[in-house]
Amino acid sequence: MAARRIVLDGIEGAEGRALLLVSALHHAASGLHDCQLVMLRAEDRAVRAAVEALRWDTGLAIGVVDEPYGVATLQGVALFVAIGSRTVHYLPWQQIAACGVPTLIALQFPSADAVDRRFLPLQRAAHDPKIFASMVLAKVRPR
Amino acid sequence: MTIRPGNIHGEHHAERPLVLMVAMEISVHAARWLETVRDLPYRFVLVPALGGVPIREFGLCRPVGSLDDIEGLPEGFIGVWTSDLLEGEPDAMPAPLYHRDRTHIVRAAAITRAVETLKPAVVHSFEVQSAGYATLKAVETLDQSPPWIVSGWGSDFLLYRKLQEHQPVLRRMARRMDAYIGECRRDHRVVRELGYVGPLTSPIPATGGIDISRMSPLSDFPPPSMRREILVKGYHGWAGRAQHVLSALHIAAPRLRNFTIRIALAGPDTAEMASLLRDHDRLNVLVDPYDPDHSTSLKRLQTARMTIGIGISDGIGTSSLEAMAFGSFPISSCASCLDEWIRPGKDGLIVDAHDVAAISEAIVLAATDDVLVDTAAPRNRKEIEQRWDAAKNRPLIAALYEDVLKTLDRNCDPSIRNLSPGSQEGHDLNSPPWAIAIDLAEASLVPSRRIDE
Repeated sequence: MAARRIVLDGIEGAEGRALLLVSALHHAASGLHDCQLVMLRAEDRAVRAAVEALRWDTGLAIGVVDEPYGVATLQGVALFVAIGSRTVHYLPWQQIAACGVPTLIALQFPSADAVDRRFLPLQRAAHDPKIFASMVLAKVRPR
Repeated sequence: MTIRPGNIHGEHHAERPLVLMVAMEISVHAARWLETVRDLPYRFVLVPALGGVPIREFGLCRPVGSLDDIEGLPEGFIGVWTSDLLEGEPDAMPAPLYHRDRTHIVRAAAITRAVETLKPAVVHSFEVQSAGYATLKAVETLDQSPPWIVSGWGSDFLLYRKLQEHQPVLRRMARRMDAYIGECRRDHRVVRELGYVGPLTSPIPATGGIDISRMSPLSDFPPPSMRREILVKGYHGWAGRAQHVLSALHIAAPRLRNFTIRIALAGPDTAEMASLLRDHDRLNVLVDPYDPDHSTSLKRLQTARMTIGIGISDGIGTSSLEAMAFGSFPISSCASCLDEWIRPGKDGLIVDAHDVAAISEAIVLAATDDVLVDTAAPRNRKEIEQRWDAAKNRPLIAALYEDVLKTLDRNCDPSIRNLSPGSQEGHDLNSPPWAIAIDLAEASLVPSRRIDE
């Protein structure tokens, strides 16, 4: 059976919180060794270094891929994961919808136009990598 | 290069060995180290690792380009090598994470020329990825190179060995360096794993030490329990995790509304997040503008109940030491070596950088437990006075320089080197013979209390 593919958003800055996402992976690592993890849009050197440190510290096989979101990258993906701030507009919604990919997206300080019932329960998780990690594992390993 | 006024009467310094310092000219740490060792019987020449003019903290400087220039250096001056620092193509070495490339980092060729011209008794590089890598390349190029002391700062070995591009360079460096000075005891294991076989001394902070006699007593400042400010180190990027701290403050917000939170050295994204904390959590968060005057940041510590510095990699952060000096309760991550200076849970708190909830709990504890912070303050001050005092560390550094020069003397009897039992185990045959000599002489290299492992 092919390993479940998890795609992670690597944007770090005003909107993306990839470094917090990497922290969550430190907590979730032991439950993700049989998954194929791929981070896209990790252009920030700090994020790439954090991913390398994650590999070193946990042995997690996580790839960093330099390609845009498209059908090829999202087709068959088991979960799309991101942590953001205020808005979700920076995420590739069209491609996600086109490929029917399940998502786990937590948003810090959601702005009025981004407030959506899907994100409200995740507001604590958007700040707490341990809680976010448990949510990732719950999605990947449903009981 | 600005020539600063000073004693115009040159003094003959022939009897003083020359230490060639390769260090970032903008670094207060390097300047403080120089201040610590300035009065030792050595002459110092700085090779600016970023190719610029030294900041004023380096004191009296004068450009030098020859041995005659060094002979003519007035008393109290250090020389600065200025030739061709950034000439030619950047070296083919990986760049530090905080630089895009090595365009603005000194070329190895400039260091090579400085060594060939000035014939220093020892080369001492400070910080690894800028100054250290350039020095490594220079040392590898030279037919005959002087002994090389490497000062590793903070994350230089701990974090960078995890990075694929850097690890092979660090291995080359560990095998090639003749003496290593680290900030943390935990780094001893790291450099040994990378292949270093030379002596290990007790850790010394990157700054060497500070002038304790000029520091106001703790009683001049309000007791920590009366203070209502929380100081956050604002670095967020390749090592710092300031936004994790802001998330922790967000979680703890209801318990912190009677505090003012000051964030120092924040980038634009962290400043933006601070404004979100103000709006959403009704927290009084101030983002302090950068002030090149270091006394400003010291004043902040004197009114801060706690100082928080969180990152995935660090040494003994200078801000943590300064916090301890001024009674500000330190909170740091386990990637630092603050635990070598405090008793965690009593004198400060150590948390996992990836665990925001734990950071939040630590902040609330330090904000609410008056006895904890008041008890820690005098103990931490005493620790600083004992271990970060330039007057106490100066003779230790002097002994290190002296012993390195003595032991690494190339005229040392080769038959003695070969008698070293340490040379049989774990020693790389490609490493220089004086590394073996150091193993042999390790017991007599430094005062016994400074020898580790």
